[in-house]
Amino acid sequence: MAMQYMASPVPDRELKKGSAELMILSLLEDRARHGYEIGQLIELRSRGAIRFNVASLYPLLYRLEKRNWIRGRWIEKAGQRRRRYYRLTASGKNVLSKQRAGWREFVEAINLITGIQHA
Amino acid sequence: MPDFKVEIRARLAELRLSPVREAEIVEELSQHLEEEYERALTSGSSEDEARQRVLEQIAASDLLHRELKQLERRVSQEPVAPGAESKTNLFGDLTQDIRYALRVLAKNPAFTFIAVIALALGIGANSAIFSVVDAVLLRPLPFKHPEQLAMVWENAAHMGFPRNTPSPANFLDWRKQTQSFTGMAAMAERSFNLTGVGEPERLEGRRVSANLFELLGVPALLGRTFGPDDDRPGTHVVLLSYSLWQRRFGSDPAVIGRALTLNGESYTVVGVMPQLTQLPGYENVNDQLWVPIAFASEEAAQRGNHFLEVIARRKPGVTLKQAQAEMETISARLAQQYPDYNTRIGAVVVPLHEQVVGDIKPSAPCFARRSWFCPPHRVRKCCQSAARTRCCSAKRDFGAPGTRRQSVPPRPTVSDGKRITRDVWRWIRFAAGILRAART
Repeated sequence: MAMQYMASPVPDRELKKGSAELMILSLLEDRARHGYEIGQLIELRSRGAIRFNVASLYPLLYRLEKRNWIRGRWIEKAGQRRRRYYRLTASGKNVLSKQRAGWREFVEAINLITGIQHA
Repeated sequence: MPDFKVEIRARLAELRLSPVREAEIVEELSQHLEEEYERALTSGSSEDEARQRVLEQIAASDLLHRELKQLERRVSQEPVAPGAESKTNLFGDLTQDIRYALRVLAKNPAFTFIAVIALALGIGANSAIFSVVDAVLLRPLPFKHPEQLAMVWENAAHMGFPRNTPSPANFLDWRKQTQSFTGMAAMAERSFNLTGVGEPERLEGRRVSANLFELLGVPALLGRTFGPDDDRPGTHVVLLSYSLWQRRFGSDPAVIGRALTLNGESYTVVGVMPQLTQLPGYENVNDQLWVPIAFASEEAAQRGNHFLEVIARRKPGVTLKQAQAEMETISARLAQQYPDYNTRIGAVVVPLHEQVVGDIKPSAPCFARRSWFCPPHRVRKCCQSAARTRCCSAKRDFGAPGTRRQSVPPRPTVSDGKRITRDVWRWIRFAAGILRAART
């Protein structure tokens, strides 16, 4: 997964690549969101450290949709043009739960090795 | 606002996506870029700067092309020449057809209503017809070794009666002289007035030879069938049908031995026949009861009075042709002996199955052609034409995936509707006719 980073310190490209799916699934856990909103939230919550461009965000969304982890649907709200909203599927919820646990274990293991937590 | 759609579409061109899918991606990505553009303007960029910044997201590399190439399925964009066969994908086409049909039906509720009614009537009519065909044509006759049974008629073809009811004297001579049959029995229709048991009622029944039920291999449900001693004038015994026993006697087993008054004379009930026992004959009569035929001497001598129906069972190993030949020999002999009555009178042996289904069998192809195939075809044709005229332009505009070229039927017209209505009406009349024929 290609990413573009705008802020410093810049997270490692490969490190973030493995977490992209987890980020998107997490953002869709509470409610359905459209692509632009997902991109904005990632940028906002990472304080600008992580930013997806169009060419990387949407193929990722389509891949998740193809795996049936999320489902996109065109929704037209009053006074707005129609937009494609993505929501988490039951299968996606399971994957999110497993990825979270796995990520947590991974981070804890890295912390134990690198001593970052106690530094 | 710059038109980002052109830029996006240019980068998707090589992917050769289906037009619908491409349109979706272009719409979604252009919305995103437009919002990025507005955001850049808000942050103080000029229009040119904002446009350049936004386009960098898709122009910087072939990332979008690479990522989507792994995900999206290509479709053949090669045009199909009219009349040429395009490559088909059975399951893909089926899914497409189902979605297509559901979409069209949802958009045309009136048409859907008519189509559903037509199909419902068609299915109902066909089910009714099939139940009759199954009962009459497909199931074996409810007799022991029905393939050995045959009806024997006088052949008076020169007078226009190729299957004429024989006279008692001829029947008795046949029975005495034949070697091809294990037994031969006669039947004659007769009506009875039942009195003394509740409301008086007129019942249809038959006089039958005492050996008839033994010949057919049908035992009594209760009591017994007729024996040789019953087949004598003055013996008044009666067999009840299952339906009469249920309806008039409440399925009372004690009915055996009970005296009934039929046509003012007392008859003793000796047995009840099983359900669905219907005897074959010239006409399908729904017999309610049977009494022995018990020819009186004057009646037994009659050759000019033709009113019997004769059923016989071929001996094992005797073919229909052999039985027919023997009956013709006997008839020729009788013609010599009784030229006043039997000149040019032959005999014809008809297998029982042919006798029973003879009138219906020719209708079977007609039933298949008329009721089974035509209306669904018309309904389908009408569906196709209605759907295509409405959807073809839209499918072309949006480039529906895998659009298959087919000969496009004309738009449904009033005459199509009339044809469907006429077909439905024909089904109903045809089914009613079959059911009526089966009932009688």
